Amino acid sequence: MGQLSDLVRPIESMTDEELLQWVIELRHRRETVRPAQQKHIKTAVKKKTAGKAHATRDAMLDMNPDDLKTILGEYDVLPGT
Amino acid sequence: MFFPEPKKQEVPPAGNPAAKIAIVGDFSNAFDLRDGRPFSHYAGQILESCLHQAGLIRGEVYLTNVIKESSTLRGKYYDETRGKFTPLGMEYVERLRDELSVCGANIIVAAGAASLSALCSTHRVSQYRGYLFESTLLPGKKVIPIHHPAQALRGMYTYRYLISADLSKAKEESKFPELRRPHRTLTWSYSDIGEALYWLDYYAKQPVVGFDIEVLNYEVSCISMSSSPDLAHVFPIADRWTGEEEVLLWRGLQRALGNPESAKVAQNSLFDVHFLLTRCGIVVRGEIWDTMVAHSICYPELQKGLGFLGSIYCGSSDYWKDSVKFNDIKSES
Repeated sequence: MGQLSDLVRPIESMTDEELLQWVIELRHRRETVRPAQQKHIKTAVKKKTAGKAHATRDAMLDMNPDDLKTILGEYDVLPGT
Repeated sequence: MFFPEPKKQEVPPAGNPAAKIAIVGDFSNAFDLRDGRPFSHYAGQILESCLHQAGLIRGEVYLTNVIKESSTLRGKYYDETRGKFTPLGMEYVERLRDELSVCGANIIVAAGAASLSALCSTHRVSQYRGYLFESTLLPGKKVIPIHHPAQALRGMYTYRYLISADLSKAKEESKFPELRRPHRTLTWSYSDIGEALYWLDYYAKQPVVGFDIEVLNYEVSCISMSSSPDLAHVFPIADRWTGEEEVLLWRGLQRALGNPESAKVAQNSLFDVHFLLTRCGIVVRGEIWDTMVAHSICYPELQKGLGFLGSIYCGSSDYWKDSVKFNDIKSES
């Protein structure tokens, strides 16, 4: 691995407890919508672009309901339309 | 003054109706009208050249067009933007159905977007070319889309090689009328973590393992593996396992991908290997056989996408790229 070991920690070198902590963090990252994606969703809805609308729809399915409600509250749109 | 409407001039089909291959073009033109047959002049020469490359001659195929009337006003028959026929165009589509229903072709070659739209209700030739579909116009008949030969005249010189390859496939498929798909087993749902780990340990022992990752929200959502043409597994990661089970799954994935004795096959492995290492801490070991790089070395001027490679190398497999979306199956998995 050489110098790469300074940047990356392979899961082979982790104990089960460390790997579980890493998985918990990974699951949190997976669930959280990043600010750039939130902005992208707003822009896509505003521009009404078809290709991005599909990506937006898919992203909305994975979003936290509270975040979704906050974003959609700013526009007169309904999910799924 | 009264000017009577000019008489419609139509180009009749050519070839033996009992031929095993029927090639359906889009529109007739002035050259077709002059010669009295479809696919004449330069486009016809391209088609004949591609037929010869595929081991066929013009006399062995049945040639026709969807719109038989020679007209420069294509918009009155077919809306190219939406890929739909107008009511005038639909009359010709109905006639095409009657014409092909008595034709003895085992396979219909749809040359062009309008032809594909008539036969299979879609106009995306670039996306679907080379794959086999069942016709929506004639249920039970198989169709293979190809680029129209005239497109090879307009700067897209590589299209003639794709047309030749697709006609070769049509020649093989013309030997039987039914659509034969290769039998493949794909598993994406597991009763418990033990079953998933069983298959990961199976792949850890295989000499060649193909793999691919799917990323959602910049994290790996699932990993697929296969070690033979007829068996593949998709291991979902997101929204499927408990934390402890996911730990076991990551260990199993590292065992499957970290075996230095087995070769790993991937499309654009630079992304997959790098992403697995930096985001997931999984070290992929063993020889890497990158299908995209290998194809680029052999055919540097052709496209390199996985959908394109499937159309060239995967025989009569169906088009899979739009068949399954992760959001449709994640609740099932």
